[in-house]
Amino acid sequence: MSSPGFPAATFINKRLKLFKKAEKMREIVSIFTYGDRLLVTFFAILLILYGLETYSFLQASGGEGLVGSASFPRVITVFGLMLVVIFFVTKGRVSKEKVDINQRVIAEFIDLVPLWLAIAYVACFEFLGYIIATFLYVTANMKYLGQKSWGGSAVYGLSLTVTLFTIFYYGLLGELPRGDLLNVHDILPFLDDIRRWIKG
Amino acid sequence: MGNTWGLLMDGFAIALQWQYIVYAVTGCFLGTVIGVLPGVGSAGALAMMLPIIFKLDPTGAVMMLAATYTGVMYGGSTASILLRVPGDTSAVVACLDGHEMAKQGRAGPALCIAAIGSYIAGTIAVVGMMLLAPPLADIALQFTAPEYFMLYVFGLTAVASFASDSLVKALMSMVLGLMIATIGEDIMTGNRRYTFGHEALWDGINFLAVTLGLFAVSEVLVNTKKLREDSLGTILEHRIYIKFSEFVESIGSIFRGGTIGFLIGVLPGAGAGIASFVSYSIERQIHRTPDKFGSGVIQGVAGPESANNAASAGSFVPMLALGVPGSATTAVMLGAFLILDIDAGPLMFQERPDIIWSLIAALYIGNIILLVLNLPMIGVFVQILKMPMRVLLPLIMVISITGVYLNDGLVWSISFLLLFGLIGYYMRIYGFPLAPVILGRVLGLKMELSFRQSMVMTQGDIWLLLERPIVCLFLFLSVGSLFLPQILARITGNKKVVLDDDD
Repeated sequence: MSSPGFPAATFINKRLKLFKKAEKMREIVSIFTYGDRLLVTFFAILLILYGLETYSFLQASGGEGLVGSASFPRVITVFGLMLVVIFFVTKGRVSKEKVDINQRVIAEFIDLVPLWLAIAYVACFEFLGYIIATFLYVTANMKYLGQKSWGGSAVYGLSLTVTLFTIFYYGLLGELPRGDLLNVHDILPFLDDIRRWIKG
Repeated sequence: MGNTWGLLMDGFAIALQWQYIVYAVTGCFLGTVIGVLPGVGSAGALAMMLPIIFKLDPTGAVMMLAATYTGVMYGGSTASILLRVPGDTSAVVACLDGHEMAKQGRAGPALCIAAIGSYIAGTIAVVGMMLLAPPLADIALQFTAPEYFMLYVFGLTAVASFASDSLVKALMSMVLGLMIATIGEDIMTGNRRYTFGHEALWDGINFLAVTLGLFAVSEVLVNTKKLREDSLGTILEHRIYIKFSEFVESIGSIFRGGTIGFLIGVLPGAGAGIASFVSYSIERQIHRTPDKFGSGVIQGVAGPESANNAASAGSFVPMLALGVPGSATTAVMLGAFLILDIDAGPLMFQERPDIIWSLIAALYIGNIILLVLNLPMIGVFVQILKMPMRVLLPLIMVISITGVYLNDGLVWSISFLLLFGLIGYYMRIYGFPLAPVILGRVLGLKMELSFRQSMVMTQGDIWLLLERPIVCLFLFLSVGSLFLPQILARITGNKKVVLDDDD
């Protein structure tokens, strides 16, 4: 097929070969990344790292052999890797259906908004304190989940915060974050007075 | 036997005095309320009761603790069935079919059968404690490391066998659980494994963070996705009471669950969690349509709920007969005995029969009180499911986060909660079962310890283990539990359980 006399034809041929190579590569990659395969690939990587880490135990506590710290994790690693192999062997070929990666990533990001909100909540947990952080989190989450007004969300946020604070702080006498930025317990000293009274 | 019966009647005569009934009702009520909250668990609940019981006489104190224990077990199941928020391991199984039933508008029957099953299993356990406690304690004493190792292998394979439709995926989930279990300080050598220098990981990853992350947080994420896609089912009108036909369908499961639960509960360290998992596996294997399990089958609630209640009572056997606590809960109970100046152990049967038999009677009375208290309350509990999702989802998330924080006071643990929520979310989307992860996490350390002890005993020759009859029995059961569903499926022509499902 190659035509040394026509540079354009050579160029097209080279491009075609590259495209075929890329297609083949994409097919190979998709074997390990399509649908549940991606999860199993992550699992396999995790297993390999998990198994390799056992070599650091031996250095830490001397040669240990069959009953050492590394023995059981290695059994797990071998068994896990066997399962991974069985999974890929029995799984067969991948569907030819093409997926728009960018669209998929955006959709996943939007689906996980409650998780991002929860991460923000946990990040503020000790800084703002339990009462303020919980109120803000519940209010924002409710609004995201479809509550029409901010007012309604705030009322629910406040009532849920008060209820949970009462159960956990007074009922179970648990220690909840007071807040580094704004300590609500200093502003409202009766919160601790009630607890002292309950404790007798 | 006559003497035992007489002693039990004496126990009832003491336990039925009005002041003790008040203690038992209070214990049941508080236990149910605490059990609904994640993160506290039965051991934590009993620990919380300690400051209260100091002021009571020993019999009253022991009765209140026993009643609290039964209440916590039921409360944990209620949260699992209604919200898919398991308070502890024993409540995880109730999430599987119980929550599915709730989603189909059958929360009432699920809660009813949990209460009735717990009551009947409690009765079985009391009879079992009377008749079998001494000989069973002797058998349990014969269990050494190899027997325990194979028992744990059986527990894991039994769970893997009931995973939805892919054995490989179920086994991978189990391996993930075992991997999580090995994080932290090695109990035999003190070696720190997979901690990467972080002090917070020395004790491993908080169990509650793993459980709530996989079940509760992933539930929030899945439902939010459905809410966004508008594919969430309409709020159903819930039936509150159970039909007679449903009760008849469940009665066999209740008796099997009660018996299995009691026998497993007697083994120190086995506990209610394993009992409920094993019972679920057995129910699934003997059911006409095992592939329907996980989609709201009432036997999937009746068996495990009965098993976990009976196992709770069974776990008192090694504590009372040997003075060896078989679980964290009985360890707290033993601590309470010490505080109350009661010496638990074989001599207790002679020295303090009043305490022993009133404790056994209290477990029974506690079950009756639970039934009386909770059956009328089912209508109230079910109202929770009528709450709109935008109200319910933040509630589940905040309760989970607060529960984990209260458990160890570390924000670090909450980050694991969210991480496992994300892992659980993708596992659910791609059909990886969650329950084997939990069981792997629960059994991992015990399994490792017994494995290494067995290796020491046999000097590395694993075949020597097969010379032990109990090991062979559990090995046979393990292999059977893995392949029996597939063999049965072939014989009965039901949907075949395949090595992997192709979506």
